[in-house]
Amino acid sequence: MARLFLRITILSVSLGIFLGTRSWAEEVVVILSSASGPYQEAFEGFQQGFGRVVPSYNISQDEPEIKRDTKVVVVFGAKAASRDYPQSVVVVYGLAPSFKIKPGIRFLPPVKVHTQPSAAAVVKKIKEFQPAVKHPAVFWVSESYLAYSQEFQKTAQALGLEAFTERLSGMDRLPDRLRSLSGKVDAIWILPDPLLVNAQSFAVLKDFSWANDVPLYVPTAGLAENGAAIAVYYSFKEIGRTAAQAAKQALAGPGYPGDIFPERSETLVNLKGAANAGLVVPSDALKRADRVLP
Amino acid sequence: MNKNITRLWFTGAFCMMQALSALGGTTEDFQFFQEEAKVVIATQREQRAEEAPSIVSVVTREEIERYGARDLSDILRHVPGFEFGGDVFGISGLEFRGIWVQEGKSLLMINGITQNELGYGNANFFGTLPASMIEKVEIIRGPGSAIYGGFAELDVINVITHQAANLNGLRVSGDVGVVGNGGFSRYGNVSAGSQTDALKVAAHVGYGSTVLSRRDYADFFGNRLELNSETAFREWQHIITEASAKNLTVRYDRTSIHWGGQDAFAMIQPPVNGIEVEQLNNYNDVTHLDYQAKISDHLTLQPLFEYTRNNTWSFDFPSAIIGNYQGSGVTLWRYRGEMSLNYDGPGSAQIRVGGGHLRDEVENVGADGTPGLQLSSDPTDLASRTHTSSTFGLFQYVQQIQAVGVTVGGRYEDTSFGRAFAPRAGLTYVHEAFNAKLLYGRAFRIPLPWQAYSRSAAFAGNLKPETANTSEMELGYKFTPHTKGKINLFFIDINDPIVFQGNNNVYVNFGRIQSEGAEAEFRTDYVRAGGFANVSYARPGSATSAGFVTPSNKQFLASPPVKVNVGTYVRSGIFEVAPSLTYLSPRAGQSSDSANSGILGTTRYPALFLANLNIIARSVAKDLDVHLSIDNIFDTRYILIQPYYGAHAPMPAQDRQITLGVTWHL
Repeated sequence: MARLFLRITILSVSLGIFLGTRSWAEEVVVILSSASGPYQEAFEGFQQGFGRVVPSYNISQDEPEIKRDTKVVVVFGAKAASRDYPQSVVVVYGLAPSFKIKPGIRFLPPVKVHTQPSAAAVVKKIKEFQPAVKHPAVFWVSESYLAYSQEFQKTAQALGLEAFTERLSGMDRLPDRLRSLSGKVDAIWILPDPLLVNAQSFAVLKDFSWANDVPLYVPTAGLAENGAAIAVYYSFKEIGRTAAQAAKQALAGPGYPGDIFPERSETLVNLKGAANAGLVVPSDALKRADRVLP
Repeated sequence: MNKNITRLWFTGAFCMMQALSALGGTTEDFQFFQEEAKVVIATQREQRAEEAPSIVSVVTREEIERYGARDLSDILRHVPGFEFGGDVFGISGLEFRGIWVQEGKSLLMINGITQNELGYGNANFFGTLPASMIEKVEIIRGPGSAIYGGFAELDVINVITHQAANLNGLRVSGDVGVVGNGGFSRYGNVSAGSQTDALKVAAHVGYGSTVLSRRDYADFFGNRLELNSETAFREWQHIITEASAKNLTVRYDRTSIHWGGQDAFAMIQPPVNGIEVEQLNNYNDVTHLDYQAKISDHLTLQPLFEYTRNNTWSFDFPSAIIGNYQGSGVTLWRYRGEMSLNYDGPGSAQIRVGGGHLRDEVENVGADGTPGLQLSSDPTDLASRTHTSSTFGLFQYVQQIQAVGVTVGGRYEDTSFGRAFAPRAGLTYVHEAFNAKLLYGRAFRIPLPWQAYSRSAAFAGNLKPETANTSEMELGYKFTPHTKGKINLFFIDINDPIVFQGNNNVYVNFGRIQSEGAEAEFRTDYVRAGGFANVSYARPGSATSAGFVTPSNKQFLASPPVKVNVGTYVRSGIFEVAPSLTYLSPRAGQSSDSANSGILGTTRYPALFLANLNIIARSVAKDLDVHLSIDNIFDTRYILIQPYYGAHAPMPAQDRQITLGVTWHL
């Protein structure tokens, strides 16, 4: 009898745990814009941060199913973020640089996990790795980066720097602008602006950087590996982990923040890229870098 | 040995993996941005040039500096479709796609504020609107009446001055030049601006003078005149200001031109008591207010009010020639009130509805004190002041559905001269590197009260709006991110154009003007070098009235059927060298025999090349750029031809000019 009771108890508890887990898991759904690496890495980070398995969909392959009891939808990528979701869910979105869900559209305010460190953090990093910097520059195309550029300028000014910020009408204006700025800027921060960053524009920027001794600071490790001097970035996994924290906060009730910057940014120094751009990285800054490429 | 080989292999494999992972990382990063870009492009509200429902040209600050443009005319010469012609009173006017667009067929703006004078709707080029104050020029090569109304019949030119955000300080520039044989040119501009979160202010103050030419001018009637700083001077002044805070924008502009004419309508006027009396002036004073009221995330209401005062082309010495009614006794006003509602709908739809009212007032007192306006066909019905008005409504719907854009819209205007309706429709397609456009627009030009009632001409109160139908097609392709090309075809049909009949000294609706042709452009830009080339071709349509074309009807008067522009630049160190060349095919103008006999006949003027060279040295000293330019290197004898049978001989213009300029950014 005791043995039977024990078995039933174990079964019930297991069933309860299973049902509870499943119920918790269906309260949260993850949707990826595609199966490519950055989105997958972000999802892995989410899983680590959330601590439980949740249903996930890749919208390039399947149609997501949002059940009635889903309370939070976590999306990675603007393609997933731009879809319509039930008004009863909180949308947490990351890996969607320059895309913003307009607050008025959703009944429950969405949460944006930023893809790049704050402008203030970036300016300080530039100053740390390039103490002699005087005229950092920022270019962008997407309208949504105006506020970021203003913050960049403000922080630069507070540090005694004279920042140059300009919104380009298109990526094809980049060579012209770089030409006119030769000798007037001594560092460039490349925003993760999808309308600006591609293989060709990066090649133009790198060419300018190496020819004019203007180090490039980039928002992803991959771009630094490809020849930029220094990456100041959030890893895709870190973005995912942060999205997980945001999802937990949203599940806990209202009062969650609408904009989140991941806690831990990383720096990657490409010594060769830096040298080609005329940058000698101070040794103490080098020691603090998370990764150094020879 | 085996251990060493093993170590080598692992080292090699490790390096290979690092390299591959780096490559993979970078490729993945670019792929990520590419995927994100597709969504941003699909959802962003601002249109790119390829998506705009018009044939557009944007000339940037870099291009303006690169090729050493002196003023707006140099900028427009490099744009397909534009050339220049000469007219009465020493005016240099604009041609577009072969058509003389003076008198209200071309809208000229500075920062969205109309600059056409309010007597005839004209603008005067060569020596006006100096390049030093210009940040960029946005041009709609096609009708714009559906949005802009009256003057935007065939094209819209918007000169954007240096913006506060780009200035953030002071920009001082000055040019001095030698024109032809002993002529002198000098221009200066100071631009100041600042932009913070709360406030944006900018101001531009400038002055300049030049001489149209230093050659001799001979009219068709045996008279000859040396062109110099007394007979062919051009003076320009501008004050342009803007302040914006909390969505309210206030602008005040004052521009003025003072210039020497040579021959009134056709015959050189002798000096009176040693004074060259054909001197004219025009000023344009505008105060503009607009407010962007954000009703919700999707809805914006924009009221605006604009007050303009100017004086058409006014003679300094009105009683000396024909300017009895065209002197200091002329004042024109325009009051414009408008309200528009902009709605950003679901799925990237944009809707705009609006309406407003225009009131044009004219005051004219002759130099002899008599009333300058005749208000009806009764010659005793005279007055010194009158007005006309129009009430208008407009509507535009723009929808982007993935690669396809659809635009429909229109403007309806009820004026003192009759009603006019200007519908427009456009279809655009953008897919990766390829774009296509199919466009139709109807536009109109409303007569001005001065044209109808001023006693400087006969009464023309029964003038009606002229209308123009324009059909266009464009195909474009980006061969690489650095290289793109496009070609467009057009057909323009103007009904009952408002023309001045010199024989009767009256404005009438008369005839028809048709233009058909093609324009092609190619440009390539790299960090150190690049260039552009464009070709324009325009010919009269078969129904074009005789007064605008050669007797054979094969080409328009004054306008070259073919224009070719080529420009290139190379950068080395602090220097940028940019040669450019313009080819104008043979032009036609009224012959001397025709001017004297009254029988239509033309002279063929040979083709010509205008070659220029500009050298810029950037940052020669801290924040200082210097440029040296030579315009019309070979001193080709360029002339301005009158684009109708007005008995006006061709006017020399644009002699070789060597200019040295500096720009200082503070």
